[in-house]
Amino acid sequence: MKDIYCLAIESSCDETSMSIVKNGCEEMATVVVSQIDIHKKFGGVVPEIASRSHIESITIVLDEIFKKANMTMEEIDIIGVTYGPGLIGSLLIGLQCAKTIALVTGKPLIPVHHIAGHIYANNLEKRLEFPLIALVVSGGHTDLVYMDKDYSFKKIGSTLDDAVGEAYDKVAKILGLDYPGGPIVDKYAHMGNDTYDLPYPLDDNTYNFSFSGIKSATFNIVHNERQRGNNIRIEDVCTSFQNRVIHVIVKKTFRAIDEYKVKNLIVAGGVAANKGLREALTKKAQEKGINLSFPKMEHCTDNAAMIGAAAYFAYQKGIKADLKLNAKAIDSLYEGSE
Amino acid sequence: MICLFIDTTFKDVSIALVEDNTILASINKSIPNEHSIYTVSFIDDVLKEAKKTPDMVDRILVVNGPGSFTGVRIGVTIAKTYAYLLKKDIVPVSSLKMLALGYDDEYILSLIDAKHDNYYLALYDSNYNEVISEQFNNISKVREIIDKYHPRIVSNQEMTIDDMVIEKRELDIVQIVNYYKDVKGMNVHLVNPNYLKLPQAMEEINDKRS
Repeated sequence: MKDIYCLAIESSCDETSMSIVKNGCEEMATVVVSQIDIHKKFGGVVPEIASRSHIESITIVLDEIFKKANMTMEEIDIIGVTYGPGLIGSLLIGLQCAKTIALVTGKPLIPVHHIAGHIYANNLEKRLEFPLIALVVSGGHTDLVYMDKDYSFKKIGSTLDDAVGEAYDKVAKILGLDYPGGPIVDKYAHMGNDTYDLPYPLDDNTYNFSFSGIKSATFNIVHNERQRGNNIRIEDVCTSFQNRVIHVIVKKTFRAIDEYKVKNLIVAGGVAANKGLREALTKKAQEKGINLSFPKMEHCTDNAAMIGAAAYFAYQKGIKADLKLNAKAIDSLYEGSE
Repeated sequence: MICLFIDTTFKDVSIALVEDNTILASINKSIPNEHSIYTVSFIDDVLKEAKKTPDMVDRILVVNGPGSFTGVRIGVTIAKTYAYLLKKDIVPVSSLKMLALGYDDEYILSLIDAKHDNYYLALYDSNYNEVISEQFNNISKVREIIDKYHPRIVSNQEMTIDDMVIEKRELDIVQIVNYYKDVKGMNVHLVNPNYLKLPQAMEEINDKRS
């Protein structure tokens, strides 16, 4: 079979990224321009500033990717692009760029859901084996997904309120930690003790998650201690928070593995970089004899390589867009839901 | 010389293919909030109607603002990508200046409504030199300019300033293309929207500092 090279474009939040991926599994080259330093002083991503940065970078990144891969546009077979979900003004830049490439070159345009990208980041490590459970954990998602074949996504559970990464960032903010706070909470969690009495987040028999309760409880403890003039032991707050969050995520994930009788677990999204979560899942997977896969660190955060991996399988499935493809701030990946 | 004109600054999207003073094909449609969906396909339609392929375009003129931030970004991203891929000349066009082109009054005031009694504005002389440079300002500045210069007023949409009714200026694309015909193409990476206004979050930070 002929090799398929995908030029992939991802601009859904604060990273302008392009990648060239061969056959959905081999990363030829990736360029990522991160805006994190720009948004840091605002304590979070400012959508208008993100859009402005994307448009300044877009053709520079396009130029860079072909140089880095030592390839030309003629060698590209398909154009993959994140159409959503994400910040609309950010998505639009990558989308218009991709559509223009499709217009000028006549190559097929493949719309990719951002979460499908995160899931397929694992395919860049080793070929996905089905059936599998995917744990999607990021700043915008906390989903448990069942897949029995390529590019078929069935959601079995999801967060009812905050995404796990969002809860981490908010807890970090109340503790006065830098943005983005998730990785810092993870770091401190390894240095403290579990001393604060926080509730377990939605520790029930469903596959859903809820992190707003533990987030509020953490806020209250911090406020009360401050009001009483007591010092807050930041490391201990982080440990107590992280232990409970990870406990419930791991418990529900492995219950899904049992119930759906699968042998394969993949983790996807920015929080897949969380060390505490990696350790807990690895330990449990070893006990249970489950094949566990994480993306490598640079594929946990937003990047176009994962979009290129997903685009290949979307293309194999016959998914293709015309030049009227639009960006969607909110869109469900899952079959028969929402 | 075939020129592709792209304007997504306002509610109307204008795409035209112009060859030596003749419009080969054009689309001008009011599609508020749908620029993202249709602009690239309009370019495809215009090329097909003119029986041209994308690489037959020699030069791209793109209106880069001021105007709707999102609208401008859509046109500029498309123009930049197109110009980069096919190594074509790209020339940014001011939305304020293009409204003034074609008049020979002593003074021409170009006005674009920026909501809440604010405007993007510029004052030009009969040779289209800036007498008052492009800026974001409020109604008082507009009144001050009108009192002092008694200019002809042009705008992208019908509007009323005090008792004066200003009609919508219909674009004369051939005139715009001609005016810019000797302007050299820019480095594509440096073509960006001309917002004339900081993002709100940055204004707030600046306010705190001052």
